[in-house]
Amino acid sequence: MSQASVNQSSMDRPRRWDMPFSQEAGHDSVLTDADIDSLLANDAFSRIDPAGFKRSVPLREILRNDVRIVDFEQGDVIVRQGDWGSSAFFVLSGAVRVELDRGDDASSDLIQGRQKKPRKTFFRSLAQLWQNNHHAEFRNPDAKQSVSGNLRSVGGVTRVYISDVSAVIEQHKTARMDAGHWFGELAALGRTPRVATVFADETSTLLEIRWQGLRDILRFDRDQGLKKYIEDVFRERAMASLLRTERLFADISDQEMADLMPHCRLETFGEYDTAKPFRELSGENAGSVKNEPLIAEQGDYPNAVFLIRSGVARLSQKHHAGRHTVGYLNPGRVFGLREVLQGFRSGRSTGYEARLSAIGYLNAVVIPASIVEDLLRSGAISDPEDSCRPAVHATHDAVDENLLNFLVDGKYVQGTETMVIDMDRCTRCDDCVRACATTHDNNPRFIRHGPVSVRHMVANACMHCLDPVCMIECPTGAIHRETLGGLVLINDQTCIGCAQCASNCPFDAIRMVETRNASGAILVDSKNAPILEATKCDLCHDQPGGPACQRACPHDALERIDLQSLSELEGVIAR
Amino acid sequence: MTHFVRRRITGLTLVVVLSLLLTAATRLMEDNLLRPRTWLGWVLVVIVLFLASYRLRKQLAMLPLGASAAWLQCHIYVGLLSAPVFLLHTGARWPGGGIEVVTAVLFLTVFCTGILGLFLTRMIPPRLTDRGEEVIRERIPVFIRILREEAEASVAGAKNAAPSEVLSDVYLNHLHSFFQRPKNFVSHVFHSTKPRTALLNALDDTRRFLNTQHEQTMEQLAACVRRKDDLDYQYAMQSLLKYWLFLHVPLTWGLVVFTCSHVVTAMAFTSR
Amino acid sequence: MTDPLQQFDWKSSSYERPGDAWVCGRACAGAPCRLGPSADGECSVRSQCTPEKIGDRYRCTRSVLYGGKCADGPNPDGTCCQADESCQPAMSLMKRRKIAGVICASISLAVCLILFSDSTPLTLVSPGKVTSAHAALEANCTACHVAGEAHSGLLSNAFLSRNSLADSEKCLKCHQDIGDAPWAPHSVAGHLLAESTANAAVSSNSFGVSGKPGGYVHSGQQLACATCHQEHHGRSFDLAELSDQQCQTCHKTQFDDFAHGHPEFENFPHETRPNIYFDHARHINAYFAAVDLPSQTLDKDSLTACSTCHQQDAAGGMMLTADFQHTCAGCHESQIVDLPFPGVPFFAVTQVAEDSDTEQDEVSVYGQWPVTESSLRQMPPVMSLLVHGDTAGIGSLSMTPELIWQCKELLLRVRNVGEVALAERVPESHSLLHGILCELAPLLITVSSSWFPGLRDELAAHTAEQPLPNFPDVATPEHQAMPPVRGWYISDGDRTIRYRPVAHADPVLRRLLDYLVPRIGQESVSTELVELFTALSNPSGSGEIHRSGPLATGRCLSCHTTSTDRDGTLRVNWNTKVLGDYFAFTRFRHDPHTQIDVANSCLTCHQILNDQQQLDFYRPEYFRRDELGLWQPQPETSCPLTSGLGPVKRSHCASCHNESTASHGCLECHNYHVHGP
Repeated sequence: MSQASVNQSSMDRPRRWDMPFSQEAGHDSVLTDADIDSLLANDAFSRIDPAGFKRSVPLREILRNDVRIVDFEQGDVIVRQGDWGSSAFFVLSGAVRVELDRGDDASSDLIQGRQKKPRKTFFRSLAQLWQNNHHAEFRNPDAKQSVSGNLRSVGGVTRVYISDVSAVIEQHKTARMDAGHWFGELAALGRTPRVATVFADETSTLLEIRWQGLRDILRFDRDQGLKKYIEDVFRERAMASLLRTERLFADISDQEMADLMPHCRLETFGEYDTAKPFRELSGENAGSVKNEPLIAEQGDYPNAVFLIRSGVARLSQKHHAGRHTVGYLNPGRVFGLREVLQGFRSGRSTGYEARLSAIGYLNAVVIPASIVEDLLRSGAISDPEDSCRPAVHATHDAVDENLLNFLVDGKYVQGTETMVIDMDRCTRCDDCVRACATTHDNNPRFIRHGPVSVRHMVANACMHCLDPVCMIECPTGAIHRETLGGLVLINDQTCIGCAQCASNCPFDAIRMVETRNASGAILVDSKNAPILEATKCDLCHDQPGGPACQRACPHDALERIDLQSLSELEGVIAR
Repeated sequence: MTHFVRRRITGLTLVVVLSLLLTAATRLMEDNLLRPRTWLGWVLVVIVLFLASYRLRKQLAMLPLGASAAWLQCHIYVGLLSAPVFLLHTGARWPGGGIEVVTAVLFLTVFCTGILGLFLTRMIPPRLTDRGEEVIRERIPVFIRILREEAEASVAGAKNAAPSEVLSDVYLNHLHSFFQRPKNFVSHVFHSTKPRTALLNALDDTRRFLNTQHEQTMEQLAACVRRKDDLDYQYAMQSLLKYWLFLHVPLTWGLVVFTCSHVVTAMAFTSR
Repeated sequence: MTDPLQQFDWKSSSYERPGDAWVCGRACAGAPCRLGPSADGECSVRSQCTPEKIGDRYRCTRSVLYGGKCADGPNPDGTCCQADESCQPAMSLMKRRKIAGVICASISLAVCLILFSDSTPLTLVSPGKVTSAHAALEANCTACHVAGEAHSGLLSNAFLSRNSLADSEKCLKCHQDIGDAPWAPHSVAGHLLAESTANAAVSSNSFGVSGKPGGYVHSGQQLACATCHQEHHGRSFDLAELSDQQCQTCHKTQFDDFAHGHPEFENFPHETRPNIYFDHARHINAYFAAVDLPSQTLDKDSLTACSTCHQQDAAGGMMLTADFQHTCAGCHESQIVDLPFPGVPFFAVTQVAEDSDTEQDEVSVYGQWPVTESSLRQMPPVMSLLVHGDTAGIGSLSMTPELIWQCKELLLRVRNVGEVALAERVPESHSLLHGILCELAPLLITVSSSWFPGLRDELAAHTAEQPLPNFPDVATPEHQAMPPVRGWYISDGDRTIRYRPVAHADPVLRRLLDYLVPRIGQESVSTELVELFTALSNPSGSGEIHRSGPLATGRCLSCHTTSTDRDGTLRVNWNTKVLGDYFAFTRFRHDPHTQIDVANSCLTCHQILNDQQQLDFYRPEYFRRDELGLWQPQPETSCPLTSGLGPVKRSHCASCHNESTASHGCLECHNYHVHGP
């Protein structure tokens, strides 16, 4: 950029489609009008009525900018189980296979070159004392090469492929999907991990649409055909199991469930745009309660019960000219049931006790109040208070409003292993950092700094969020979730150092490091640029004792806290 | 009663009870001509080795050997217990031989520095939290440099404004050395704000000689001084938290060596 | 609010590595490089190169990572043209602390190794000054420590060997008077200690050893010196000081202090068997109080004063009893000496037994035999013993002609060789009698001349079996029933040599009793001497037994008690009891105590008993009067006797020796190292 442009006071407003999807993340192609025409002719889109779309967001442009056409060879892995993706796929031609095996039999890890690190035995762990490399960030160059056998570059994109497709098909249960099928839309819309690995069974051409485009189509399609399709699919595949996992609906019969399901809606609130790093956007909105997308307003008639599926919501009450944050909700919690119950029992309904707003983004199952009342009346829900998980409220004086606001505004309530350091007890001895280094080949994986609220610091260490935005856009899936809901780990061997995760993490938990060889020289590629890798806290998952930092703090100052409820935090503060 | 208070009471009670028990046992052994000094000496050896092993546990952070916090609690209370055991072992008399005197001096120094460390680690952190930004000690010089550059830039003036000679003088006379490195260590240890006040007063005194713009510059300078002083405070307090270990840990090495020699000579010559 | 100084994003903030040994040298200036020094402490910046010589030109070899070949190239002299931008890495705090630890440990190790090396005097290792008594030895560790000897490994001494007894041997080099069994408790051999315990005037359950004291006992219950005595506590430390509890660690009976729980003194001296039967109570309350006091030397006041009879010894510790002359003689001398007692015959020209067979003139048969009317009918026992020369219990005391000739031969022999002739006749076992015989011999020589003037010729004729010469009769003076003198007396009237006890402490009687008393009841005792003894007991002194009257030997034993020795023999106690006959477990000095209230001080502790019944019970019963009124010796000699004094009560002692005066420790009165009797 020229000197002049640095100082100019005006600039072009950045727009949604400044970077078309087809040109993002290593892809480099442009959809021509002819391509769009052929798409519109396809069954998937032919029934969509373009007239329903807004003038600023026409269907064609959605297709041009939020869609890309991707070719896959036989064996190419399209999505991996556990990956977090933000796009949906439609098979234009060819066929793909969906792996149905779950759990340990799944070949996913092997396919994508992930080697599960076994937990170290006692003596192996002890051996770290003398085996740790004294050079920083040592990586064995040979180890990387062995994995890259299964990687290939297509344009600017790295793809993992299965060398022996037939073997995989023989050994594992798969389902074949021909042209005309959608997959991945639930994960894209719902921001949940991919539930299965999908690979190309033969040379195929797929349409990939990012979730914003999908959302808009669903929103503006008057015909609601795609929406119905997706919701049907959701209902068919996921809604029932999701609802069943809720204690609230655990006891209802299959028939009642079948009656219930058509009325439940899957809704998303808030937004984020992958064009800009997530952090910048969340930074803009941080702390401004007023700007958060509204889900349900305080005092409104309680006409629905919200079951949070992913994301975080804030509960706030009006207080003079501002709002009191009284609690928050994370996945699995229910909002609005108490009000509905009260109305049902007393015959008179009160409004929602607090306002529900989405922090950044939220995906919820919305159940109409009348359905809930029917279930209450029929006795299908036996013990509503006990069986639902309401919002998280601070029950102890220990967590005061300051702290609650700090946690919610900063979205730290995402974290399942948030590192909270009590600065009134911390002696800045760095034993935690040293312990972290000892368990990671002499390389610490966090820094003892971070935002402070009065006396508590949330250090920049990976919180293993419920909704790990860092995983979005990892090209190789090196950053992955161990198991559904488990730890977020970075696979050294497949990390290519693109820094997407580090840039995306809103909590500055991921850092890029220059890697070195055994003599301490920095590893460089053919252009002499240092080879970077992403690193972060892995909660010492391969160590026998669990997170070393917490165990190493001599003053009970450092704790890894699950903020899905406040009980752990209160327990720690009240010691 | 909070968990920590309960823990403290339990620990202190245990120490007191064990001391009383040991005193009674010592008395009983003396009455029975069992020479309790030898036995107490071995107890002291075990105590010293246990206390010294805390360092080892810190190096073995990767093994599930128990939380460091639990180890520290044991370290503190066993350390407190070592004092009555030491008194019983020496009979509350100053020893006469060379090795014994050196061992006693080392032990008492390590003990006293341990008590000092206990006080420091409990008193300093809240004071650190209350004042200034939470910075990592190793990065303080970087922040000092940033502040220095900021201060110098303010004094040098904006591009199109003439710098104030008054401020330049004040900067050269009072602030230049102040912004070079962490300062006023001793004052901060004793929580004296005199140096800070002196500098701020020096700046404030120039107010009558400054125009509005330079007054703003002066306010910026004062803000830099305050932040730098806060950094100095952080530096001094965090340094204290690290320096006390320079006495406590190295002397423990010496203590262990001398304890071994004392054990060997005592056992060789004790006519048992 | 100003912008915070810190930025947390990954571009602005890299990991801190507090475990590293080196930090960038520019860190203290506030501008550390991102990469930091290598683990070996070298700066990572390589702005300079090492120029490579190709031919006679130099080529820049700077790594592409740092900019690649520089534009200017190396200098003509082969040095790099670029400035060295590297820093001097500094040691991190952690490394400094580790180095401080290593330095401290090294110095300590060096000091210790120097101390333990052979060339360093061992005294440097001494843990403190020794007491002033041992100060002269302080420079020489081996004087007391086996471990101090050269080539004696310190470690092996520390953990392998047990030196306590070997070290204790070294103590004995100077302290030679500990006793025969220095490692035994109280330095007294086990069996002796048991005996002493039995003899102690306390009930048998106390003072038994409770168990192993102090853990410093080797097999056989050996106690090293160091068990109780620990040195190196300074010049003025009292090595011998031990607490009461420490003394009690061995004893079964355990108690709090002297005033509370210490065993009572068990009727000392009330039940202590005195050597002289002297009942203080009877004497002071009855005899001395009588109006007609027979004492000739002491007045009433003197008699009742303790100091008349009891004086302190030279050292002031013990109260000695004055001798007979100064004490009892005033009343009892007359009892001993003034009885009309003709004395016991040792030699008599006895009347010859009538023998119907002999019709010859007696003179021709046995020659001169100047019998008188008063002559005894039977031979005195000693004469019978001497004449017969055989102690096989002959007991025949009748004179026969053969015995007369033997008697005459004896007399001649005595005249020739003296007392040897008598000693020959007495068996070895009666050697105690030699003293008596020495006194008898001169008298026999005298009577052999006076009563048997022609003895030599007569015997010569008898031997030659020739007729005996005639000799004139010996004059016969009037027989005196009571000899005018004491001691040996030749009584011409009845042709006897008598002995009449002289006075108190008569030597002949003493020797006789010393001989006879141990042999009471034994077979080896000579019958004759028993009869002599009986005769001496015979009050009439006529030599005939079975007559009542005052007795001489019995009178000895009416005041002098007998005791059984350690080896079981009975002996007569001629002297008052003196402490020191036993093991000195307890020490008591009278003089500090008698100073307190001189006049009455004795009676404070030694109270005279008043109880009449008690007095009667404790009469001496060594001799008992039989149905004829004769004193008969009793075989049972352990009759309790009493001194008539009440027991010294512990409470008397405790009235001063208690907590307030702090003079009530065990060691105040008791010794540990007890030196033998």
